[in-house]
Amino acid sequence: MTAGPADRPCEHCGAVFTSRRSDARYCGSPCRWAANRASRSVRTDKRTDKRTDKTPRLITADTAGPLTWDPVIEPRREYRTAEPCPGCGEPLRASPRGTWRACGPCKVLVVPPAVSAPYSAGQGAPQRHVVSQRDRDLAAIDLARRKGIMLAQLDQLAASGRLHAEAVPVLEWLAGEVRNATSGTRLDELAALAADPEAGIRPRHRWQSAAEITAGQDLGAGQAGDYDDQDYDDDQDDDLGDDDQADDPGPPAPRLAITAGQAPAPMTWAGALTANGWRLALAADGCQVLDGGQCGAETTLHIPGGWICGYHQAALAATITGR
Amino acid sequence: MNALPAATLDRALDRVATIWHPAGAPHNLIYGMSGAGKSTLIKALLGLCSCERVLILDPKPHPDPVWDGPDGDQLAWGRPVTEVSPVFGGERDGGGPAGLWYRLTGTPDRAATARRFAEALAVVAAEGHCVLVLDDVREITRQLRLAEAVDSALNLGRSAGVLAILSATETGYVAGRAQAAQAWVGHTSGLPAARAGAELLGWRGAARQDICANVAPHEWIFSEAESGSAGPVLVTAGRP
Repeated sequence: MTAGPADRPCEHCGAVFTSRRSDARYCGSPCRWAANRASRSVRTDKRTDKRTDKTPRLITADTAGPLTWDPVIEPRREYRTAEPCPGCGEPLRASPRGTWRACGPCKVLVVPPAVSAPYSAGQGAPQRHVVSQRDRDLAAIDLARRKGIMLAQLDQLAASGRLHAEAVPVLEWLAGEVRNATSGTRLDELAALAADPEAGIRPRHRWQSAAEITAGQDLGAGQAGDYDDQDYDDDQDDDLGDDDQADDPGPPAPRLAITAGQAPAPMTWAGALTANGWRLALAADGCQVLDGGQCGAETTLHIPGGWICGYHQAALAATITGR
Repeated sequence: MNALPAATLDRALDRVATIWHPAGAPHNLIYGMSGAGKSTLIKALLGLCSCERVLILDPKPHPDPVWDGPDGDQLAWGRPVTEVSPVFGGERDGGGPAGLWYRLTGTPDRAATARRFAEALAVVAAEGHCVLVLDDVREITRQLRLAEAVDSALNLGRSAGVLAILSATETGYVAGRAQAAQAWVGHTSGLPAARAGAELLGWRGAARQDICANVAPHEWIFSEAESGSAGPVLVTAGRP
């Protein structure tokens, strides 16, 4: 193959150009592209050029027929909003894309209320919260934690052997739904469903009806599946009085206190008093805590039910916080 | 499918003017190599935004002359600013047809550029109601590490009236790629780039990749899926 500079006409536009290759046909890329497109849009006989069969054809508007866009739909124009003009009170009109406002009577452009809202003073001012990737990640972690807790409690219930045979597939279905849940709301729904007698999760024996699942809460305290003898006795006592109701459709379902991973309610001042074996008593003056005797020390804090001193405040606070 | 219907740019812009809205197809993604005509197409799309608040983020270290206005109207494509203040546009002190267009430019100090762009995106995220133009979105998301901020702003499309025009020379690391309801695939070089363009259009197969590979500069395959869509259309745009 020989090569060398030579002047020749472009096969597309006809202009004479100096080629550096002996097989050059076009004066430049634009002509080469144009000629290529033209050749593809006019070739119709597949047998004349097998390459045409393998080459995608870009059909022009003339050959492709009308677009389904046709007939032309009216473009978006400015539209009326419910936002009042700060000057005249008339409804503002939004720009076609909706980013700005205008008042027809006042003939002025107006800042959309939502644009200035984030800078409005006062607690009632609307604030837009942008969910960041970190927020989404934390929410996903929390969801995974809640699902893990619920699944562990469902597994524990299934392994306890105390469920009615018909309840086992229900439990398996619930576990599957928990695994597939994509939101905390769904977990709440499943927790409520599990506690619903209609769901059919019931124990094998009636006296086991008090079995409680606190799915979604910390299992470390042994709350779930805590079928101790005391529970048994209590339930048996309860059942003794229900013998005349033997025709009931069945024992109540075990109470599934599935709170979908939410933390247990914090201890209150009253709970802390009970935990310490104290109580409040009326006193003319001073701390009202009875801890074997009336405290009577100088009070520092009012809690629901009465006043307490600094010493008891610290002790109760330690009980509440677990320290 | 080896054939595409064709339309002129004016006809395609008519279609965009119909569907481009926060409640419809809020975001445009323009993909093509340097010289494919991305900035020209952005300007054509901005022609539909004469009364809109527009913020152009140009991350290049030096001002791009493509955004310079003609003599006598230097602010035709937005007022160059170094930072975006809250409620920008309220004083109509920007450029463009209604004084509502602003252009935040980059500097050689990339850290400062990243900080200023992040602040601007935060303003947009807080206020909404803006046409956000990200010229070279990959530079903004990858080099300036602002992918999360861009995503947050784009997520507000429907709820807060944020519309976007994203231009990219590559599809990797492009935030908002999956959110673009309107895709424009232009001239590229090399089969991998054509394949990436086909994927943006939801296409598979060598034949369709070849279609993308054959798009000439200032031509676009425009695709959207709003009501009445014609499917992908070859848009012929004239040189400015």
